Amino acid sequence: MKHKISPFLLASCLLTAGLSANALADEVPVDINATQKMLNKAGENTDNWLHFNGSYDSTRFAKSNQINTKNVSQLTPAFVFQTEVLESMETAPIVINGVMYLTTSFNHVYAIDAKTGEQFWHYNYENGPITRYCCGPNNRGVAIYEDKLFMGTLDSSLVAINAKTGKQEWKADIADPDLGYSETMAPTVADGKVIIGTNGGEYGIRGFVRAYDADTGEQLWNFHTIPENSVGVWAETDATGRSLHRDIKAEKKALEKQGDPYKTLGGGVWMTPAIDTETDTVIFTVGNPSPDLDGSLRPGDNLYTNSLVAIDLNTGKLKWYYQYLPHDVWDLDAASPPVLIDAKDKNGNVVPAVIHAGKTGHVYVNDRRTGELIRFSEAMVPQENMFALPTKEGTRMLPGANGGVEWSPMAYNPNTQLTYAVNLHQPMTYTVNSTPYPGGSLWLGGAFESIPGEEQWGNVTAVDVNTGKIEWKTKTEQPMIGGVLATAGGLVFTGEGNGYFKAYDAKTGKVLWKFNCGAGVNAPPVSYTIDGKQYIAVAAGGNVQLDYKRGNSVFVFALP
Amino acid sequence: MKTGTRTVCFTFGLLLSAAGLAQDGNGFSTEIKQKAQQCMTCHGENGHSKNGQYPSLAGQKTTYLYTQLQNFMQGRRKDPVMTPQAQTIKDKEQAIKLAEYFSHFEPFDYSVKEDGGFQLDPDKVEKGRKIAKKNQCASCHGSGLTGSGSMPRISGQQPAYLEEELKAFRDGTRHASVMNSVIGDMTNKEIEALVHYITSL
Repeated sequence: MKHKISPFLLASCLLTAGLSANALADEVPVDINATQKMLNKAGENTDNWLHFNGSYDSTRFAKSNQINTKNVSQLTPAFVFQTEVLESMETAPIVINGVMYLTTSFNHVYAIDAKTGEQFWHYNYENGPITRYCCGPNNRGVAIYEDKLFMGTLDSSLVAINAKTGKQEWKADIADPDLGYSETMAPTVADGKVIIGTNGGEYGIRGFVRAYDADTGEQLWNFHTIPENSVGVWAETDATGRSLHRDIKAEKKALEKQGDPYKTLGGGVWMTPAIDTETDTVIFTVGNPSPDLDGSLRPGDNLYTNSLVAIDLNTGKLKWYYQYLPHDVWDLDAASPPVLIDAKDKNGNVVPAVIHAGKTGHVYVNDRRTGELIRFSEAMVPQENMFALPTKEGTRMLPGANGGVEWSPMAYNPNTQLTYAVNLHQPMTYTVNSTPYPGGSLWLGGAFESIPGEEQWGNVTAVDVNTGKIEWKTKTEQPMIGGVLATAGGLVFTGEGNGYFKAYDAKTGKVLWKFNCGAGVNAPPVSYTIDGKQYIAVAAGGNVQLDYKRGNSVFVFALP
Repeated sequence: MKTGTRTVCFTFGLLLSAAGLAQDGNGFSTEIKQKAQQCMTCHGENGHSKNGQYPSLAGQKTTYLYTQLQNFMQGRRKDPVMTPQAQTIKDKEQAIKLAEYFSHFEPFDYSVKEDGGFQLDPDKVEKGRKIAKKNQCASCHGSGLTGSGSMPRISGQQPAYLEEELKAFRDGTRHASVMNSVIGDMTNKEIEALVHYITSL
């Protein structure tokens, strides 16, 4: 979809309204200033939603309990905001001082009144002529810091936008989109540093996470998610101890012949990092190696793909890493963002932990201080023929390449000590087809295909982080993608491809309320409060990857 | 082989001036428009092909068109007509501009009425729909298969061209690892059904 404004119309607008070329409409009528203190305490504040995942911990837990298990059945739409862009929506809106900032596919940003839906301004970033991105022209949202918003773009730039006026303040080119670099994640900002990763693991990029100066756009540091020595320890098993069926001897021979594949090894970062503000540590998950399904061109463990990685906020230097799945040839990568919680270690002592929901279908619990694995959960989806190698004819293996759990963020409720994940069950065959690096074009090294006649479905699953046991699991008619919100009202909110947005009982998984939004609800919900009234907002724009019905709206719900 | 009628393309447009730097209201220089005239000899007026041997280009995704030009320029994709034509493109910037030029036209929309040689078969359309679903075509080619980013719009494309290219992916004479794998084991009849479905959109 393209939105082009004719030069004549644009000139008229500029003359008559004195507005910038890419921000049309009014200023936000209140002052916006998201201070570092506010960002640090975001998880405690029920009025605003200041981070993509609610807080630096990324728990997506709202402490509001006005909407709760007893009254959620009365929940009703307060307003619906329609954007101009009818395409996949994965945005988690930022809400501050009664103003909501939401994004759409193709990098539009809207500022609206979070109580009424009235639009203040609309910013439309003009992507360059060349964009290469996987899985749709998505954008997951902005980050806010002081008086600015920050957004990554499909053509691999980072822009700063004035939160009050919608005018662009600076733009930094991150990487060459012609080589497959793109941005869909919401950045995060801490101590004046805008932190952003990159997409492109399907295009043979060399991944990274970077920090940019929030005032100027100057790059402050760069961390390569693929080190120059990506070989590792020739691990023969994954985090759960199962054999990966690697031919280590052949890989070592290939390494001798081809050298280290680090320059085109992928390792994109799909989702917003979490930040441990106590230790100034940035923690994120690194995605798949390139090419996804063809391991013959990339001997070694392919560090730090499919890993949990911790780096220093101030320098970008590595602190530790933990690789869930070395030398992945199934695209079962680490996409869903890490969540920082307290959990019991193997001895029953409560320690700082970090959890991640893998495409493999497990929730992993690691020690946040060292990266050491504490435990992994029961499988949330069927696993069959695990880690059977892809073949030319196609190998059936479950989970399918979307997981398990896709990029969808989990939510963690400290009261129940349960983490809530949304799952996909999509039986697939994995096919390998070795082709050389294609110079920036899509490079999967094969394909994964769903199997006709085999049923697909989803789950909403609650996992006990201290035992790894599944507390409850509620089936959905379609594979799930989008993300979860948990609240102190004892509720879990998440949406489905069929348009339903549902509230579940956090303790039992019982569906307590549902509303059909008319298009796929495949975005993470948020919660905020204005004038003493709690609102739940979620985008309904469908999804490219699973081809769920497209929409263009953000729905906002409240009690009557 | 795709020689024969395509050879006519060689003789057109090669003497056109490349000096024009003036730009039209859309920002396209005379030089680019003259260069594009060469392409239209085969690909039709403004990139709306009237010949099943040649793909329509109008409204195609810029990145896809640019990538294919680069593939021809660098030898990753070969065709007896396009390979030498691509050698006449000066550089990357000119390839991007040409891609932008054809992309800015209203998207192609093949109509079965216009060429009389292709009639939709409802059974094949249904069979093709199931094949498209199994292979998750929309997850790359977008809703309605209208393209997304570097992935081409295929709905509304010339059906004969679609069939030829799908067979080329299957037979390995055109390279793209995903398409080679997805189409790898399809029969001619399955490809035909897929083309009927795509054309029905």
